[in-house]
Amino acid sequence: MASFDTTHIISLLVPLLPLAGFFGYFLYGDKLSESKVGTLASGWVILSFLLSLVLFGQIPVDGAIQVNYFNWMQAGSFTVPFAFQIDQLSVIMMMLVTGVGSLIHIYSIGYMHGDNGFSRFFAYLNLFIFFMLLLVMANNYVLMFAGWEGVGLCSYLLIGFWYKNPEYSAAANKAFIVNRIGDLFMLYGLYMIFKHFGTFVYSDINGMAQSVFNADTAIIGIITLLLFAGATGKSAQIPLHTWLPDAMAGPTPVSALIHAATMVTAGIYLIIRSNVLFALAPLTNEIIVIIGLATTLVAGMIALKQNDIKKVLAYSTVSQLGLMFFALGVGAYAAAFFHLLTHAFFKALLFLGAGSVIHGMHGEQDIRKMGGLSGKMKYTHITFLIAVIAIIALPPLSGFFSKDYILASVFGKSPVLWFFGALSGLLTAFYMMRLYLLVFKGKSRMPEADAAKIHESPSVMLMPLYVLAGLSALGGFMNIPSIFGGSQWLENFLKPVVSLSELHIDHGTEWILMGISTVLVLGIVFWTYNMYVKKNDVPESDAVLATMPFANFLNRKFYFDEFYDAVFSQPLLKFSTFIQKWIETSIVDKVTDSFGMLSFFLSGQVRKLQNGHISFYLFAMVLGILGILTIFILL
Amino acid sequence: MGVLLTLLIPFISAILILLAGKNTSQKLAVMSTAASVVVTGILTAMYFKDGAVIAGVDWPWVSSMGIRFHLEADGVSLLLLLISNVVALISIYVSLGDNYKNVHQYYALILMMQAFMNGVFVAQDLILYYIFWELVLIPAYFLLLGWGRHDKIRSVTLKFFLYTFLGSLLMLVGIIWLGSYNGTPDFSLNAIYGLSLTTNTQIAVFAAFMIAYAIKTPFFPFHSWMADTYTAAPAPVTILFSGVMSKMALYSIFRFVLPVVPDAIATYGPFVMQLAAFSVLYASLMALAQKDIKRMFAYVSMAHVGLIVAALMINNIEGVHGALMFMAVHAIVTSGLFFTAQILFRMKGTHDIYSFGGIRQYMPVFAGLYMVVLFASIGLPLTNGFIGEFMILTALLKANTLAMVLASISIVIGAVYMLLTYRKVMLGQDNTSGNFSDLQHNDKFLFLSIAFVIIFMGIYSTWITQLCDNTVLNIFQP
Repeated sequence: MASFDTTHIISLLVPLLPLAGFFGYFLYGDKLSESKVGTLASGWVILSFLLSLVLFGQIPVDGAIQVNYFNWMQAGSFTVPFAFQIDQLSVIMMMLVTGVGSLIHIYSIGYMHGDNGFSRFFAYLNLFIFFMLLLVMANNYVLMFAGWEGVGLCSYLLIGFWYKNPEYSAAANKAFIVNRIGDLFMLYGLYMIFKHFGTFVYSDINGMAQSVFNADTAIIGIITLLLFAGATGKSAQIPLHTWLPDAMAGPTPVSALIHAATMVTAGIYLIIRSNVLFALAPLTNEIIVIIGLATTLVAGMIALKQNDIKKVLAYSTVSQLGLMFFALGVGAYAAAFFHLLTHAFFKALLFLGAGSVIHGMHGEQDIRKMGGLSGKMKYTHITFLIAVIAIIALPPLSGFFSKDYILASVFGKSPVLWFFGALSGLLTAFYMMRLYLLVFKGKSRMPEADAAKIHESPSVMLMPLYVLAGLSALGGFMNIPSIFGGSQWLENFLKPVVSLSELHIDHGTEWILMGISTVLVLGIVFWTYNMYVKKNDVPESDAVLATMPFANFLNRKFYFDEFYDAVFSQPLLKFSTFIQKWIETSIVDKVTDSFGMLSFFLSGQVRKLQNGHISFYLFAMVLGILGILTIFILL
Repeated sequence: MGVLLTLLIPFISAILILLAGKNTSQKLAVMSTAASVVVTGILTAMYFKDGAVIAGVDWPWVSSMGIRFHLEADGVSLLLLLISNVVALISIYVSLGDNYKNVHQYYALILMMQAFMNGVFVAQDLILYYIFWELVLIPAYFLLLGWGRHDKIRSVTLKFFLYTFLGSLLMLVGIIWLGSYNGTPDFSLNAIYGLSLTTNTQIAVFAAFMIAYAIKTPFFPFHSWMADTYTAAPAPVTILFSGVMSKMALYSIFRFVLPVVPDAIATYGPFVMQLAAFSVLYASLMALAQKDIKRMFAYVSMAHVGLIVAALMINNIEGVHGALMFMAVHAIVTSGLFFTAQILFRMKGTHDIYSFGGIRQYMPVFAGLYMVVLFASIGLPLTNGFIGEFMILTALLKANTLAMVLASISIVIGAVYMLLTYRKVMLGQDNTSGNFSDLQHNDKFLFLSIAFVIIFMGIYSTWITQLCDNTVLNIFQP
């Protein structure tokens, strides 16, 4: 074990404090009052946030803090250290996870008030923070994978938090299993990494990447593809995106923290973390572009026809994540990371705002039954509006800068790609405006009695909204582009981790592109305002929707779920029953038993011969082996 | 002398229990198994301290045949002794929750079985080893026949006994062949290690040994005794069968196959490796098809041991360490699984998954602990299940891509059957009636301990590798 200096201790405390909160639940969970449990749980995460700030201040300008604790696994040449690497990338993720995490913990004190599982909820949230920190702090792929699957576990636990509802537990299962499919490929990637690099440590791998590439150019391509396949699971990209909308079954703070701001961005983190490898894999990058683009457009289209406030936001998340992958595929790592951060702010805010609405409306989630809430929930409304302006990328809010950065980088690669990226932005503008106007503007569409019961949320829920609104509004200033005379702080800060690609376009073109997309978004704002406020259009009911082929197709989410069920889930279950019936019972058991019966019969016949048993059994066994060999050769 | 104690403690306790009668048998059994664990723990600590093999006894026995009563424990033997005695303790603890007829005989037989299994792991003479190997079958046979729960318990028992016994006879042929290879019979392990065998001899010996082990492990297609036996046996006995008895075969592959017939493994190892890997997939699919939770867990266990066989066949340091690690993992996890099945059985008198539902709200402690075992079983990181599986599959990809792929699909299928079952049994609204009081006293203590070990090993695993390292290096770098 290495000698322990203060950095070692602080680095270890960052994830351990939330873990202490998790174990604390077993000690005091049922004994303390709600407010005490909530304060304690939030306190662990806030402390962890403060320690992350300390580490932020300690990072050397040009390098990383490496802290080694012990060997997690060790056998022969196979070593997996339990060690952290705190560099520019991970420290920002740590601050994001613990910062947004703290806010959402505080918010949950209000949101989960009166729930039977109040303290259990906070235990799971604390555990999630622990695993998420493990994911971003690990200095090697295996420990990262521990966090990766750990957050999946917490996601499972929290989606199925209200376990008495069978639909919720089904959604939880789906989330875990779909993620497992991605994880399997990711594990293949890890095994490959060990086979060709002999280590799992990032810094060692980065150092060897070029020589492995020179030895066999295909290797890195395969490894990166496998890692990306893992990322499609966790970050809900086509074809493994279907779990995320279902995951909205969990309490809304969970959707904000796990399924918007942090966990689902792990795939993007993974690729940025492995950017040295991905830079050597042009084919993988092209696939990432295609998947990212397909996801952002498909999810954006599906979001147009969803009527559940959380489902719209879920598909919006899928779509925004697709946009980030799109950026990663063209090599715009800093832009993707920038958007990851601003998205974390405004999407967490959107979800928390939605939670506030659901809370105020006593559980209602259908936007067709809302309307005109701006007067009744003044503060929720204002913060939600800020988030909407940020996500539809109007200046000068944060989303504008990050999305513009992505689009400008993409244009440098190809104008066609820019067009599709901008199209995704227009879809975003439409479904977000539709959501916002249907919920907060126009006429109230609920019965008077229900309308009277609507209340603004308590201040413990509003305070996090204010902070996130501030971040959503001002977050763009992390990386003001040179076109506005900015210094691009974030991009420069990340330089030690991310090898920068040259995708710069001249300022004139950038102004034009920016102008085009902003004008188009404004056009959509007016269009939707006209449609949903002036004309008071309400989305059609489910019955009407069923008669409209394309709208129904979107509403039914392109029938992905039905397709997977028919092609994978059902056949797998049927196949296993088939094997049980026709192989296990009819062949393996029968053959074994008939050897037994035969031996009884024959041993009766040859009993007079000394040693008859053994030789016969030998004979039978040899026959058996030959039989099996033959079967396998034939197969 | 300490090594001999690990045999004598359970053996003498078994006799005492028989003599003392029904009233004290539970207490004696707990004390005996706890003492075995303590003794093994001390031996392990001594081994870590001195780094020297724990010498046992070495008495001449049948001199004319060159057979000696020779016991000794190196690191790997100690690991297996730990597994055997800890699982025996678990088995006794699980037994405490139920009422058995002829309770003194029941506990005596379990301790007998423990004593003989310990013998298998420390015998340094192949005939002695074989005698222990077969002796294990006798208490196992009576435990299954006397306390098993099945409509056709006689035929289940007979199949189990005959099948495994006959497989072992082949091994005996192999042992005699090896022991008399040089003219003067010598069955000591050192002598066997010193033989230089022709390739053809190696192949024949390999076949004779591997069939015995394939049946005992078991893996496809030699497993047809397993599901019935594991399901019919009382839960504590199933825990011994899957936790320790299957390890006898796995340990034997490590001890008597890898160092003795390297050329045969070079030729046929990949085939066995792929067969075992296929067995992982096959057993996982079978687990998915089960409606009886105990039977499902039996196939889960089969999937896991298949993975260990595949790892052993890699025949290098990383693969063997992964296999040994996973032996320890499997012993704990599988005990937890069958304990879970037994807790459910106590509630409703059935293992039928579809008879349960909504248990979690009444039994939060059990629900949480079941979940720990479940996730260990499907290899979630920071549980011990991940450690073994990851080590093995990493080594397997380097050795044989096809085997790795076959063996790894269960990572997904495992999540499917485990989570579907958990949801059906534990979650949702209550649709059943039964006795749903949450875990108490012994059960709670035992299950918490299992969960603790699962997570402890999941974080700090290297002590197991260190324990085995010298033995493993002796094989690969003599």
